[in-house]
Amino acid sequence: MKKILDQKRRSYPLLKLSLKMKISMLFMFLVLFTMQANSTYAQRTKITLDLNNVTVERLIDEIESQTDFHFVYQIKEVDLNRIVSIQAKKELVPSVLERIFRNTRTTHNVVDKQIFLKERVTKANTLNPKVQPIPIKIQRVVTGLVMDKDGTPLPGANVVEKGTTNGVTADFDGNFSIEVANENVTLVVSYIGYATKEEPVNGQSNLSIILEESAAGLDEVVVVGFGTQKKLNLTGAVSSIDSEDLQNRPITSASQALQGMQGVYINQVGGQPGNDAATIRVRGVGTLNDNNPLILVNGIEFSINDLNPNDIESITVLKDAASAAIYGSRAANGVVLVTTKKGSQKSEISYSTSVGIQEVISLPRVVRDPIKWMELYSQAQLNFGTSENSLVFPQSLIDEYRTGMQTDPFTYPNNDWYDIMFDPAFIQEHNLRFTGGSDKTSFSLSLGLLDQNGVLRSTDSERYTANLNINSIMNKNVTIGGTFNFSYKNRNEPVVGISEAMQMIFKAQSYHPTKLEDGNYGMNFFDIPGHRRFRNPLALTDEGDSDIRSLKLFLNTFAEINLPFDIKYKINLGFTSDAQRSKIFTPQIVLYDAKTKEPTQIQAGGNPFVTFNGQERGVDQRDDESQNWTIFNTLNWNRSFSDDTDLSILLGNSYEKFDRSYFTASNEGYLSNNLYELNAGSTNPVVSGTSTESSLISYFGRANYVLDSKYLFEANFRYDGSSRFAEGNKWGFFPSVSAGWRLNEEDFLKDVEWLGQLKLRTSWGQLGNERIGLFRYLDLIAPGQDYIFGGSINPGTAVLVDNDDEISWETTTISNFGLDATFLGGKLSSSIEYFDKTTEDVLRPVGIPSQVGSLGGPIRNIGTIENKGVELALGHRNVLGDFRYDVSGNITYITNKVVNLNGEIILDDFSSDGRGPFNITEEGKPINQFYLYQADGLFQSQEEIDSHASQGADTKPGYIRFKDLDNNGVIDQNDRMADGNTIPKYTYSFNIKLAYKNLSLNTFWQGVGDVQTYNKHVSGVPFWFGTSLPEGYANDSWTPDNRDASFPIITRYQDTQNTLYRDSDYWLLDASYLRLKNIQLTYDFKPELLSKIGLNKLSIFCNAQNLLTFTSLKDFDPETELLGNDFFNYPSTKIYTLGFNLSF
Amino acid sequence: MKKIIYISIILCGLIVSSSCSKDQLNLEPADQSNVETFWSSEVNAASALTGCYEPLLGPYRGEGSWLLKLEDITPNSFEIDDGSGASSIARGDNNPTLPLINSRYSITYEGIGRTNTLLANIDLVPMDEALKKRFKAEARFLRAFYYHNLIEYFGGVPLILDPPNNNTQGQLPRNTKAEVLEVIYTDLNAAAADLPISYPSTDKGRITKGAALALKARTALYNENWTEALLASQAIIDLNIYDLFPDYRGLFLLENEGNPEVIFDIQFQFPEVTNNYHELFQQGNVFKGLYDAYLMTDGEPITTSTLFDPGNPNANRDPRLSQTLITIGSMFNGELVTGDELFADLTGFAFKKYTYYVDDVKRTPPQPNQSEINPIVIRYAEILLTIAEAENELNGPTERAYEAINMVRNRISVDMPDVTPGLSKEEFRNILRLERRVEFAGEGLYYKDITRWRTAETVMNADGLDKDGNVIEKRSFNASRDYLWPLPDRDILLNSNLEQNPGY
Repeated sequence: MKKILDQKRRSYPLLKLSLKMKISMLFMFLVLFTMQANSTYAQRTKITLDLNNVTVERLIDEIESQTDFHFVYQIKEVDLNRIVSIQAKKELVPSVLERIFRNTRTTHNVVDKQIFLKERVTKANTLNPKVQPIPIKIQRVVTGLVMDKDGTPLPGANVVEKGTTNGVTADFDGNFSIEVANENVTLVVSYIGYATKEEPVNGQSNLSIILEESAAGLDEVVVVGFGTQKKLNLTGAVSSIDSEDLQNRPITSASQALQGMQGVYINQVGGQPGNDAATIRVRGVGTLNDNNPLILVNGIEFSINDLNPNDIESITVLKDAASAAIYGSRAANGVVLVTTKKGSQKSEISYSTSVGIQEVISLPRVVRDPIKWMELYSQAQLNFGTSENSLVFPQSLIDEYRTGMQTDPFTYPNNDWYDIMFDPAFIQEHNLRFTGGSDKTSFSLSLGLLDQNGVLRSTDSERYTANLNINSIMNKNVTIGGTFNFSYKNRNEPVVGISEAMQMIFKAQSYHPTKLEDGNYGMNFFDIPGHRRFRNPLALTDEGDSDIRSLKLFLNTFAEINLPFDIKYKINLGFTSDAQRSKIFTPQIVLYDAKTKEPTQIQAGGNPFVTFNGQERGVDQRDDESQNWTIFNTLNWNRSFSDDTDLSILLGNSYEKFDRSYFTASNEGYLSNNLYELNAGSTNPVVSGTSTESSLISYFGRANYVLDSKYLFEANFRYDGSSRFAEGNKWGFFPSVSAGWRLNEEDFLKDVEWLGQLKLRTSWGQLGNERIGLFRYLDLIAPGQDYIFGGSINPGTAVLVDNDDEISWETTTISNFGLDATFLGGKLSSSIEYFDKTTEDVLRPVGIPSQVGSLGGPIRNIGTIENKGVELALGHRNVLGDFRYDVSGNITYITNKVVNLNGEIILDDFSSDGRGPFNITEEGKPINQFYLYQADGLFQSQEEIDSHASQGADTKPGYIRFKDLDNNGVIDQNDRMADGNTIPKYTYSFNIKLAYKNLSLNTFWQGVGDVQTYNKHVSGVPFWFGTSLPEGYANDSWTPDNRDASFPIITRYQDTQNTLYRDSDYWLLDASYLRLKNIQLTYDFKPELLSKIGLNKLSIFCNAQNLLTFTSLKDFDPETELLGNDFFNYPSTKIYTLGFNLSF
Repeated sequence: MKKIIYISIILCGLIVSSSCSKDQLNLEPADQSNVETFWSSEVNAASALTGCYEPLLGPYRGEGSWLLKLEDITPNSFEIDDGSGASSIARGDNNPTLPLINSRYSITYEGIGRTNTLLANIDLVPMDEALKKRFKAEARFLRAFYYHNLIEYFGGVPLILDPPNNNTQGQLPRNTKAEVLEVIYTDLNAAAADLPISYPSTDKGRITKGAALALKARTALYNENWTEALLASQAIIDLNIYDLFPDYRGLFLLENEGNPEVIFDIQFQFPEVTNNYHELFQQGNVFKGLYDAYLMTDGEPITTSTLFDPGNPNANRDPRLSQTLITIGSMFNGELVTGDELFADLTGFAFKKYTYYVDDVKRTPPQPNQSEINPIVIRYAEILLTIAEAENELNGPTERAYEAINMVRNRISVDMPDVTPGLSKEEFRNILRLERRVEFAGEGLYYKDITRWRTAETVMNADGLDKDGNVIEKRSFNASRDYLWPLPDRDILLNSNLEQNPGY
């Protein structure tokens, strides 16, 4: 795009705003300029000047400093270097101006406090003979309308007569009027984000000009560290989305909005209201520590999930070291920059709302029929070798139950616990926004409400948000502004927590009673070994109270000041505060035997809650608080050497301080379930709490150089000092360099018609990761190792962890190569990136043998992890009459490999069964694989068992045969190996947007590939200690008559957990999926219609989230916690919503 | 004027930034002590010693109570849900990942590490020398106790006597059991020499001279050092402060905690440190084998005694039966046990020991996990039976051996007839072994007994039965492997010099 309006004017606070805003402001001025000015200020402000032989520029400065006047002009149109002398004494400003510009090529016009300087178009410039006056022969006025393909006017679009500097901007309604030299000129029409169009006038006097959105948004401006950058000039790897992409989607936590961004893996585990933030992984898993990216909201560290998604203007993810190095020690996992919506001068009120329904996507398929369940339970016992006499369910009991079900459903229930515990749930959202202001000050005020019930009983959440953004140009040298964000959330969930509640729902069987006839909670009348404590899920969710309230405040203010020598100084002060209070009231609930009506004797007191919180009826309250302080200063210098060459330099420093504290208290001895404040209890009060602080001091800088618009160079550095490391290891230096080559600007490609943009990029840089526990470099003696002497507790202390004072940053080095190209006038766009991200000195806890005092292992800089990947994006858009379509997609392929662990093997147990190592990380393999025996089919006969390596005393036909990897004749621990991928190798997404006239249908698809998970708990194995039986065992388990079964012979898990149910790849599950994440149908009413009823915009939409999922994982939603191995997280949900948004 | 304002804003910014001096990066925790300055006061030394006691609690706490879990790997009882892996061991599926194996190995080394740290640093502390001596003696007992708990299950283990240091200790191989034993004896001798016979009431629960001697007697007995066992036992008797508690059931009741029979018990106290014994012991996991093992009041087994009535098998039994087990047809917690109770669904027998209930009065139970009863690790009856066993092994069934065993049988509430005089060494040995099984049923001692006697390969290759003779658990014991437990998987992987026990 050829620059028509020269943006390289002298330093001017106005111009610090984004390009869109600049243009709209300029447009405002021009509109005012053309209108009759009412110069009241001008008519009363008098000025005294005594200047000799100064430049016009200096004179303008002087006037601006003495008065509130602002000059608005284009450099080309004003000869700033002209030397003038002027003396004035209490003279009106217009009169002074008249004296200065008389007989020049410049005219002036005063509109309120604005002074517009413009080139005289009707007269030859007599003072500067070098400038050829444009011969004006015939004056023609051409009017027209600029709009996009949807017919939406594009206010502020630039319309310039080709080959001249004669130009205007379109008004609010996209209308323009321009005087042109003749009827055959060509108009060049441009607008940010749209492809520039040349429109021959051809004698017409009224034109309708439709601009196409430009491909891949190369003209866009993206937010980068401490500033913005034209996408065209980017040399790093950056993904971004803006608010339009997210519009109307039921995004309940803002982290979900990142799904579909190239190179970013988003996994949202479950749809619990108020607790459904997604994990964000940028370009793989690079460390064994915290892999979360650094998230900055308007430059201040803050949780993205504490923002109302509707307040977000744009999200940028800095993926490579070139773009992220300016954030140094915390940037190794990528940086997410969130910008909140700003105000505008246009007074507008907008309101959007949606209502909807959520429902559970999938639940484990288990045997529901109680009789069938009991019969299969007996079969399992018999298969294991239990005698007929010792069956838990003798035939007499089964018969009794079968008969009883007909007559007495309270004693012999047949409950569908899924039906009881899960219900479709309501969700509604309301957002109200006010924007407005003047030419100097603009504001945006928004209010939001999200009210969400949960699909699981007793779960819900409400969130109230408010966001105020103010920007004000104080005078030509000072701009100030600030963002204040408030978010209050109230979440309720079962007292026992989600995980426990879900586990108990999966454990509950159809024979478990809900309530008995008398309304009391029931208990099954027979005993099941291993599951002797039925914790009635209905009681667990309905009784007691777990109330979590959090209040988050975000405050960020800045001032930007113009200093001499074109230097801009910016100071930013940020403060965030997070206060969360969670209060749990554990009630006392008695379960009554369904038959005898006796309170259950399994637990004294019959309190099913006791074993969870380890306490009686009582209150547990916890207050968490954190405050972050941020201050940063930047100096920015910008110099254009020519139209196509400029240099900018940024230097800055920052100080950040993080304070955290918590306080907990609990009390017991409550007299009833209706008293639940701390001071209503009387026994066993316990208090605890602590606070920590950490800080970070940084110096950083950046230089950008654009040569001839073709060659792009950038260098960044950051020097960070952290309190997390010992003296001598506190400071780290993080550099980066990058370069780009815009091939399409080269002469040999300039004339290739079908080629739009073509840019090669490469970058290299280093980043750090300091996110480990505090004080891991100090040897510390911990309290709390107490013992009883003389009947009272004595404080004890001990060293618990072996710390290492040598630790320092992890260092991540990223090399990135990218190629961006657009073709066919932007109809086709593509981008490909290759990256090599290697993290060295990975900080991780080192397991040490128990013989070293059973200390927790130290955190050490050990290991190297490598993520290599390719990202590919393709897009195509076109317009066919009234029909428009836009298809785009991206795919990321990442290989994760642990290169070096100093020969060690990391064993973990992320499962909840505590049966030793289940997860393994070893050299040459991806992080966190499963540690599994290798299955080799099922044993078909005793002979096979006898001839195979020994697998344990009670191995029987129908059991899984494991491979004897070390050939020692025994299946032992050494026959396990790393297996299964818990990090997807592929993540991909695509958008299909279809529109016909005012109707549009957008679909967003997203998926992951080559990833596995494992279910080794309830609903994954048969009768986990007397609980559920996966359906597959009923239909297709091994018997002598069904030797080709997909499940082994049915046994009780508790009998065979060390034989048949050793962790093996037999049970590895494919967790890849493709999902229709969102489908949205929108109707936009025509602006012409709306204006009649005073509206600017009205659209109605309906929307479905997670509507379709294609996966082989049937029992659970595949978008889940893959390492967990128990799947007790909140179920994922489908959400259907309906809503509208309007503005006026 | 405006310029002054801008300049002040800039200055403010710079001042705020520069006040972020590098001191801001030097922060210290306020809830933990720095090792450098810790060993400077008596109070700190006392807290470190308390920290050495603390690992005693782990194995006796929660569901994994050692008393019961070890019992569950004997013919006496079984683990209902195999939560700790006790049932796996009993069924012959012992393996290096079982929680029971892991927890015993790691928690004992945790105690060893803490005692080593204390012993290495306490000389830095300016404090009363006599007290310092006692602190050291307490720590040495604890170290010996922790090592004892290792070698008796795993065999030789890495012998570490310095404060934990991964660089020097992480890759040490196993020492022989004899090498570790020698240190245990040395520690116990030193501890016994410096420990007081008793403490003022505010220090109840600390290690006494008697405990050190008793552990020495047990260690010697387990390792067939009969002479040492006898000497140490005699030394305890000579302290003249211990005696059998007359009421056998009452010995294990909360109200009689710390009675004269108790030599070493672990301290529990509501609400800070509690266990779940009240729940765990009455679960109903006792096999018929134990029930049948109790003699008749005439001193004869049920198979030969004329007093045995199959229709009323509870009658005329060794009184310890009804004081140890809940059985159908007997009284418990003020009610007649009818068989409708939940425990009866399993084997029909449950432990009464360590519950809060007595037979004929109804009592209010504690909440689950809020039992505060102290588990007894060593009591005087064990010393007497140690004398009987060691004497018999060393010199045959001497008068002293008879006297010791009969004292146990003659406890007021037990009152079993004396052992028939004139038995052969072999006959006496069998009587004694049964006496130990019955006297200590449910106290976790029998597992070590059947392994050191090498009878496990016989008694653990028999299935566990319920009251009607149905097989509840199929048992298997591999004599070439199962006398030692495997070292935990994790440790074998982390320390390549650790050699696994044979067969695992």
